[in-house]
Parts: sequence; structure tokens; C-alpha cells
Amino acid sequence: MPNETIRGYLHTVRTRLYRLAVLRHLWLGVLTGMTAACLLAAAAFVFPLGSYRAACAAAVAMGAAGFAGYAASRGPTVRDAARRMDSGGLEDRMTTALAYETADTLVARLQREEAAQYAETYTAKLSARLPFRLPRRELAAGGVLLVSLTLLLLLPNPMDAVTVRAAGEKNWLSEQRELAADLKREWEQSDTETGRGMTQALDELQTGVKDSESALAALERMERTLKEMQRLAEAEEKKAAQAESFLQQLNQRQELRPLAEAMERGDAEAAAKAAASLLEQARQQDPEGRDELANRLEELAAQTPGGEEAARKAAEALRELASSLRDGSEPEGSSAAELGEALAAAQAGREEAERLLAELRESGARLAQSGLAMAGELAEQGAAVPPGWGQSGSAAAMAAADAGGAGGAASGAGSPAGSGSGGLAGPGSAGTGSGTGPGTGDGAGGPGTGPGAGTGSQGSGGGAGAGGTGSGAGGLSGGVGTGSRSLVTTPGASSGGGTPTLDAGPLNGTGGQVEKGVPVPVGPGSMRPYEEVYGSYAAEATESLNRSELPGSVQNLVRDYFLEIQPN
Amino acid sequence: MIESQQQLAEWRETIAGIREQIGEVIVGQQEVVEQLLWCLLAGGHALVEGIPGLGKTMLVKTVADTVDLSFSRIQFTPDLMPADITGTNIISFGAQGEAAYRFERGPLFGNLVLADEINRATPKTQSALLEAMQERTVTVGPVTHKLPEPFFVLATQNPLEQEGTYALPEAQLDRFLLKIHVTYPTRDELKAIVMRTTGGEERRASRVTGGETIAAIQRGARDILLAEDVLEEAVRLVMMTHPGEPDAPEEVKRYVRFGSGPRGLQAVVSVAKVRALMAGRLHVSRGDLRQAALPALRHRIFLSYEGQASGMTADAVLHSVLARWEAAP
Repeated sequence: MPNETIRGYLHTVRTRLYRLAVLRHLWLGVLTGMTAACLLAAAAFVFPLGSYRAACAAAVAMGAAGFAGYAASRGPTVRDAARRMDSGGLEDRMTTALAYETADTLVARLQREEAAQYAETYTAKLSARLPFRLPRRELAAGGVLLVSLTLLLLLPNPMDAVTVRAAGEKNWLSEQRELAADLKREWEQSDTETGRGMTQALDELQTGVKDSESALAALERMERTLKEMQRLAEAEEKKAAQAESFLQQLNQRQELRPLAEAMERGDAEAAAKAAASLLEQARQQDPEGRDELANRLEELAAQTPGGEEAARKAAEALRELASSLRDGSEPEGSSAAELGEALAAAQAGREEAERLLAELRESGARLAQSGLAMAGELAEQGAAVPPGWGQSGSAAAMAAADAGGAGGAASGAGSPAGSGSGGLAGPGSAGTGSGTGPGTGDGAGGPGTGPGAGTGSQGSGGGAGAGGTGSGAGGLSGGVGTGSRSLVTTPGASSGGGTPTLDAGPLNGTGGQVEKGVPVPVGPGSMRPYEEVYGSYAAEATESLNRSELPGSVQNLVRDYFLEIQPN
Repeated sequence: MIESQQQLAEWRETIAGIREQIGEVIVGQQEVVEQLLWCLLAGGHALVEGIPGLGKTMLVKTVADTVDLSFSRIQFTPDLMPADITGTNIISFGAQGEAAYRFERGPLFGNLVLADEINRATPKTQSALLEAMQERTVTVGPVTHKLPEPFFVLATQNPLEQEGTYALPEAQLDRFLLKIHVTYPTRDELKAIVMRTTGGEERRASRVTGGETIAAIQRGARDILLAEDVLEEAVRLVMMTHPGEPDAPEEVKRYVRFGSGPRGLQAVVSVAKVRALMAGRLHVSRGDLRQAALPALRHRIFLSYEGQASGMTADAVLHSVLARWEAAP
């Protein structure tokens, strides 16, 4: 059974330690978080980091929460509490009492009683014994970090504008994708060649914008789409213009005017009646008058507007009518009806072309207006905006064309590369085109139905750039070592065939004969560093000392000797 | 066995009395006296080392005076033979003139044996002490004689640098519970020594207690509690004297050839228990281990040649071990 008294004291201390640990880790977490926040904020002055202020706050909060959470999940154990109490002057009393809390010996009981007495004294002033104090260094570090972080967050950061722009571009790209998708959906409803062309162009635009990494790239892609839209619009415009011209041609002759009026109304039956009436009147004219009318009808046949099928049928009907007039033969009964239907179809084609043109104009304007704002921002920032997005570029013209529909004038501009293109003309006024570029730009005014006139003006443009020139040289490195070492001469090995000499010493006062042997050749000695010689000799001596049972004094003598002669 | 708090108090009083009586004769050297008492109460043998003239012999004699134990002194010399200390069989004649061998006990047969200048004897004679110190028996011929209880060998030795000394074998050194260094007295202590020894008054320690009490305290010390955590610390301390131990300090790895063995751990724990008992505690603390470490381990650490050549000492190595041991959380 655990000893309740001892456990009670330990629990009190453990709770206190737990709180201290959480507070301490919370503080460390704040310090860590502030350090990370300072680094982040400093980096934000060099790199465009979006929302770094919020990230700094999050770093501090996460640091504090993380550290405190770690401390909370790893609270001190009872043993830790016992150790902490012991380190406060209880001399391992609590550790021992805890280890022997279930022992029923006299010594263990006495020890527990004594430990409990000490523990009572200890816990009586627990707050004083286990205070929450932060080291001065940490406090100072916290203060420095706080000031640094505040300054870094409050100082104006030039990178803020960059990050705002980047965020704006990102949003804009997203908007362009959505716009392209919306337009595509709208054009998918149109079962015309232009509709299919627009759907494909917008599909490519949607993919292109999605793949674009910057607004500039997206603008370039959008410019291509706008050009495609412009091409389609020109085609539709041409169709409408042809129909208009045809109608005017019809209106120019008094006898053809009923045809023109029926065609303008799109009334096939009225047109057939008008054609029949025309034939009737022609028969009453003289041959020259019939020939002239026949010629006129053939001319009109050549200018027949509308779709291919309707145009072909109208032309055939007109030619047949002209032939009948010229021959004086009776036209087939169906010719008037066919002409009426062909003219109605031509009128329908004209209306379709005008409708498509209006829709193209509207789509183009939406796309261009959307891009113009971004192009303007980028141009203000000094970015090389694609030429079509300039103030007098094709995109501006497209954007203005929609307004031109209400009677305004549109203007187009060529690109600096020298290829200008005319703007789409509004029905109220002719568009004006202008080319830009070094002398090769040209502009073409769009056809207008109003009193406007197309004008072209030569533009200008240019650019300059220069690459920097780098230079540098690696420094030479090197050095001369200095030093010295003492050398020890190791005698060379003696060898040779010397003859032993016997010196018999003085003999009869005359001395013996001394024979000199052959000189013993001595091999060349070698020079070895003193440290090497000393090292090997000392190692051998140490080995010998370790092996032998020499008295200590003798061992010391040897050691002293080697200490005396050791290098340096 | 410890039977009551009162008994503990009586033992503490007895120990304080011994300490006081020793202090009557020995000037200063409190640490040496304390360590000698640890050794006595832990039932171990002590090797007291110091240069001649520092009162080693006087100290041991004084300790013997305070306890009612038989005391014998052996002066070790180079020509001392094993039989001179263990005893020998001699021929004796009975009343009818019959001859028989009779074992004549040597000076080793005492409760408290002072082996003075033990390192002046040859290794052969030194080794004669091995059996006595470890087994507490003496074997002469086929007969093994039991030594009296309690049995302490308090040996003194001169520093090994002295002429005419023979280093104690490692095996014998390991038998000593503690190696106690006697240091020079301080200036004031020197004055007191001179005043006491050159005056007319002859001081002598009084007998404080008997062998039974000492034996009872020894048994009681074994009852002192040792928590698992504290034991773990003791093991860590001893392990840190091994050069191959990753936790060992740099000095150990560089200068120590052999660290302490299991007897070192036994010595540290035994002494720590005695120290706790003397402090009135019923448990061993890390502080006890720290105080016991130096005298219990210094003669169990063998320096390498590099260590000896560098002037390193076992004490210096142990100080680095203790510093690292205490620094660990």
C-alpha cells in the first residue's frame, strides 16, 4: 500500500512542479516563437512573403502552445517530485521514503516518519521554495526579441507592395479563368462557325491562363485570344457589310426597291411577290431597259451576301431572272419564290452576322476590360506589358468598341513590332487605327456605318537594355612555413672484411707488430627527427617498466630521465 | 540491528565520545579521524598514507585506546617474514618430555592490528596479510586459525617515492576499504602539537566503548536504507572511473589504465551507510556517496604511464569524476 502521507506531500510538490514546468515551457515557447517571428519578419524585408505579420503572430502563438502542450503532456512524476524535494535540502529523504514506502521494517517506518516531518516543513513554504523565476538572461533575451519584432513589424516594408501585387495577380488570374470559362459556356450555345471558333479560342485561353505563372504571361495569352476574336469579328463584319451593300444596291433602283424592302423585312413571300412584279414590269419595258435591268441583276448576283448556300441560290435566282429578262423567255414559276427565299436568307445571314458581331464585341470588351486594368497596373510598375495592352493597343480598342456601340469612336493601335491592327468600329462611328513601331507600323480603320472615317497613324516605340559586365579575380594564396627540428644521427651499419689485429704489446722493448686491418666501411648514416627517436625509445622504456617489477624509485628514475630529455 | 531511535542516539553519542577522545590527543586532522572512524564502523581495513612524522601511528594507537579492543602493532621492515606476523608452529615439550608442535600466534591475532610502514616489507610478507584481511583467518600448514572479531588492520605507509619501499600489490590494495591521506597540519595545529608534546602533561585517550558496541554499530549500519535511485547513482559514480565508459570524463579516458572494481562500489556504499548513521539518518544520500568516494576509490584507480608521467594523481582524476557526476541531472 502506498504511504498516503508521503504521497500527499509528493502530490503537492508534483502539482507545483507541473505548473512551473508548463509556465516555464510557455515562456520558452514564446521566446522560440519570437525568435522564429523575428527571422520571418527579417526575411520578409528581402523576400516577398505574403501575410508575414499574421505568420509572425502565429509563430509566437504556436511556439507558446507547442512548448506548453509538450510540458503539459509530460508532467513530472512522483519520483521527480521526490528528487526535487531532496535537492532542496532533504538529502534523499523523499526518494528513500518513496522507495521504501511499502516496507514494514522499523528502520523504514522511522525513515518515513522523519521524511514526513521534513516534507511538512518543505511544503509549508512551497511557493518560496519553488518560485517561478525567469533567468535574467532569458528575460533580457525576451525583451530584445520583443523590441526587435515590434520594429520589424512596424517599419514600412518595401516588400509589402510586391506581395500585394502578387496576391492581386493571383486573384486576377483566377478571375480571368472564370471569365474565360463563362464566355466559353456562352459561346458553346452558338452553333455557328464563329461560335465554334470562339469556343476553341476561349478553351485555349482558359488552359493558357491556368498554366500562366504571371499576369504578364496571361495577358500575352489573352492578347492572342483577342486577336482571334478580332479576326472572327472582321469576318462577321464583312458579311454584314456585304449584305448592307447589297441592300443599298437594291435600293438604288426604283424598280428593285420593293425587293430591298422585302429583304430588309426578311419576308420571303413579299420578296417573291416583288420579284414576280419586277418581271411583270420588265416585260412591259423596251429591250434596252430589260437588258439594263438584266445587267443590274447579274451585278447583284455577283454581290449576293449571306451564307454560302443562300448566296448561291440567290445568285442563281438573280441570274435566272436576268437571263429570262434578256431572252424574253418566261421564267420558271419557282424562280421568284427561290429569289424571295434567297433574299430572306441573305437578310437572315446579315442579321446573324450582326448579332455575332455584337456578341463578339461584347465578349471581347469584357475580356479586354478585364485585362486592361491589370495591364495598367503592370505598366505603372514598369513591367514590359504586351503591346496590345497599351493605351492605344488593340485591347484598348476592343474594350472601347463595346462603348463604341453606343456611338463612341474606337481606335486601334499596332504593336511595337510594327504590326498594327484596326479597332473594331462601333456602329455609330468609324474606328481609328494607329500603328506603332519604328516606321513599319500601320493602322487600318474599321468600317463604320456612321459618318466616321478610319485613319491610320504611324506610331513609335523603342527600347533599350544593357547587360552588366562582371569582373573579378581570385586572390593568390600561399605561404612559407617556418620551423626547425633537431636531427639525431643514427650510425650506419658497419660491414666489411676487416682482418682481426693482434697487438701483442711491448715485446722486448720494441713493441709488437701491429697489423692494420682493411678499413671497415661504414654505411651512410640516416638522419631521424629527435621526436621520433625519443618517442620510440620512450615507448620501449614504458613497455619495459610495465612488464618488470622494478621498485618505484627505480621506475621513477627512468621516468624522470625521459622527462628530462623529452623534446621541447 | 537498529531497534529504536534511542539506540541510534546512543550510538551517535558513543561515536561522538570516540571522536572527542581522539581529539584530546590528536591535533587537527578531523577529516582523517572521521575517515578512520568510517572504516572502523564499516568493518573494513584502512591504509593511512603520509610522510613520516605526521602522527599516523599515534592516530591509530589513539583510536585503539578509545575502544576496548586488543591491540597489536607490527613494524614492517624489509626482513620481516610472513611467519613473524601470522605466527608459527614451534616444538614444545610436555610434562613427560614428549615433543609436540604448538602454534604460537603472531601479532596478527588482535582486534586492532597496526601494520606500521607496511610498504617497507617485501611483497611476500605483504601478501601474508591477504588472507587475514579478506577471510579473517590465518592458515599455517594444514590448520586454519580464525582471527578474533572484530578484526581491523590499520596500516600506515610512506609515500611510494620514499627510498626502500615496495609498492603494495593491486590485489592487496583492493582489500583496504579506505586509503586515507594524512596531510600537513596547519600553522595553528602545528603550534598546538608542539605545546602538547613538549609540555609536562601527557595526554592519553580514554576508553569509550567496547568491541560489542562497535560490532553492533557495524550491524546497524547495514540496516541503513539505500534507495534504488541512490544505488544507481553509486553505480554510475564507480562506472565513471572506467576509461572505456562513454560517460567517463576526459581525464579518466586519458590517464586511467584500470578503474575501480566491484569492491570499490561496496566500499563506497558501506562507508556511505556508516556516514549516514553517524549523521543520524536512516538512509544514504548522494552527499554520503560523494564524501565516501575519494578515500574509497583513490587506491582502486590505476593510472597509465601517460597519467603518471603527466603528474596526474588518482585524487585529481576522482575530482574530475565527481565534478562530472554531480553535474549530471
